[in-house]
Amino acid sequence: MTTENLITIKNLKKTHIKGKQALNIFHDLNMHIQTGNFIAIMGPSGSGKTTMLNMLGGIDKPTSGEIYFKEDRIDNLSENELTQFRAMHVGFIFQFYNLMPMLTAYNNVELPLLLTDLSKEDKIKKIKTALEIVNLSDRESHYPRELSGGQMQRVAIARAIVSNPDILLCDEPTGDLDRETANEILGVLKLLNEELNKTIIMVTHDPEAARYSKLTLHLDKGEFNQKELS
Amino acid sequence: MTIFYLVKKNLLSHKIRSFLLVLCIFVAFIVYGVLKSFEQAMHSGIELSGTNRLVTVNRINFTQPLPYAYYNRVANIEGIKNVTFAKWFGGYYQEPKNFLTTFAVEPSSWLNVFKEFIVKPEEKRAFLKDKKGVLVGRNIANKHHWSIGDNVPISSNIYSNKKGGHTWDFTVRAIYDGEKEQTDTNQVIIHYEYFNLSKTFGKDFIGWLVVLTKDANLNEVIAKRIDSLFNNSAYETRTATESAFNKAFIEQIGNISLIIQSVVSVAFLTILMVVGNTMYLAVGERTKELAVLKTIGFNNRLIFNMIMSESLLLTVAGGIPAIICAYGIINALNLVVGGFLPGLLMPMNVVFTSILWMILLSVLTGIFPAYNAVKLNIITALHKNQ
Ligand SMILES: Nc1ncnc2c1ncn2[C@@H]1O[C@H](COP(=O)(O)OP(=O)(O)OP(=O)(O)O)[C@@H](O)[C@H]1O
Ligand SMILES: [Mg+2]
Repeated sequence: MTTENLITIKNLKKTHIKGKQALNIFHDLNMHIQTGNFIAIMGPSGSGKTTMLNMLGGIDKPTSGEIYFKEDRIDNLSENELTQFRAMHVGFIFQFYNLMPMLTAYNNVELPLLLTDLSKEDKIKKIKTALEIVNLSDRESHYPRELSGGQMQRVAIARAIVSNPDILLCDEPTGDLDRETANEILGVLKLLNEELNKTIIMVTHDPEAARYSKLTLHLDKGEFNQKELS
Repeated sequence: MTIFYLVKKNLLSHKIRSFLLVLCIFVAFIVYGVLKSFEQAMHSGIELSGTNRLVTVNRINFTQPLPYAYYNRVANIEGIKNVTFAKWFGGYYQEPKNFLTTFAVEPSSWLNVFKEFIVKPEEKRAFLKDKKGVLVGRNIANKHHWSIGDNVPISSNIYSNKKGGHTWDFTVRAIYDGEKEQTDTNQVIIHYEYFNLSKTFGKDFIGWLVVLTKDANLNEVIAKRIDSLFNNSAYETRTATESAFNKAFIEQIGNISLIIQSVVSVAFLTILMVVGNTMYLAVGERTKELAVLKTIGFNNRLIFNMIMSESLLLTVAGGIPAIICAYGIINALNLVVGGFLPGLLMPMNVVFTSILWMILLSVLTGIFPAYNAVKLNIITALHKNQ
């Protein structure tokens, strides 16, 4: 297994300002995330799990400190540079899927490819492959309203992986699904990690879900603690 | 799939709303296209006026006659290149509803003054030679299927013929075309001499004189010379440039221009508010979708262009068919009222200004929603009512 660091966090501090109140979430965080890892993050509500994913994915910035993606520092990038960074390196998966309701499953998966200048054939190949990985090829012309929660989440996963990002950031991807469907989705994520060596960081409240990961971290009071699951 | 497909899908995801907006824009641009064409047709008389043409009418008002003798007296005034005169015949063909703008004139001087009437030389010769000949505009000839050599009876709703009745017999000797597209080719020109001898009253009186000056700079001086010549006579005159004369004529109809401007402004202001407000709300409803697109990597410029394209597409979808329909309406109206309002066409500049208005409207209605979409904060938008 490779031990290359995909993400390095140095002296990270994050404070949310809400009106006159300052909410300290991270004080002085240092950590590495290795390529090919599958990390589950657990922790109480409001502990800063989503905030961490947002900073790693380049939609939020630390108050101070540094975040490196491979060798490149990303916390000081401009808005446009971050947008480009996300398009190239990050796939997001949300609890509520966030698909475009007016687009078919196929077109939803195609969205990130609109930002590339791949040939039409290459695009088709990539979309088909992504839909195959999530086992949804037979639903490609369905609209989100015609799909179940699990199927919508698979479309969302296909959309997140279609442009072949380095890291997948999942915020409670099974939070809205029943046990069985959740296990299917987690199976897909595990497969992506093990077969395609995708680095995955998944926030979850569900200890069962955490079992699918290689490493479970508990976030509390701004610190990550490794916890062995029994 | 292309970005344009995405824009289209966004509009089509609320079919009824988009349809109503398009309809609203459609109506506004029909109103614009038709009214603007009307307005320009009314002004084309003024714009087409010769710059060095003067019109002399009876001082009381232009429906009062002038003695025929004035024609020769004015001709001797210095600075005048040509002079001609006309008398209103009040013509119609077969039935009064087939109204004809008919003038009894001295033909050769008339054609010298109105150079915008283009007549073939051989037809011109034939017309000048035949006192019972008639020169008709292309539009009228087409409308009544008249061709050279046809005998056409023309009736007057003012004068009666010595032979009895109100109808005179004429032979079509010449057909004129307009120098420009807007030139009035609905006129019927007859020989004053024939008409004067055969009518039962009002003999040796003419309607008005049309004077061609040697230089437009002389217009004012010559107008004064003409009017002072007939000062203190039984038929005093008032001379003005042809464009002033036409303008005064239009102002008698009422200040239609102002009405048209008001209607058009109200129409545009209304769609600006309706479309602008709806776009604003529509984009507001989509904050979460826009936040997802941004998360995926759609940059601000792309998001901005997408929203602007939506409003442009809406405007064009309503505006372009509207201009085509307005064109059809104007052409249909031209057949009905062309005789009263020559030059009723849709001018190219109305098409161009319509397109400019479409661009302006789409920018005005799209800019605020587009700006908001760009300013949208991903984190708060994604957080909203999960
Ligand atoms: N944009 C913001 N402005 C101000 N405060 C914020 C903002 N985003 C998050 N917070 C606050 O920061 C804290 C951490 O929020 P975060 O969403 O990261 O928690 P979380 O661990 O994901 O919680 P949950 O498990 O409920 O999703 C919370 O107290 C939240 O109220
Ligand atoms: Mg959260």
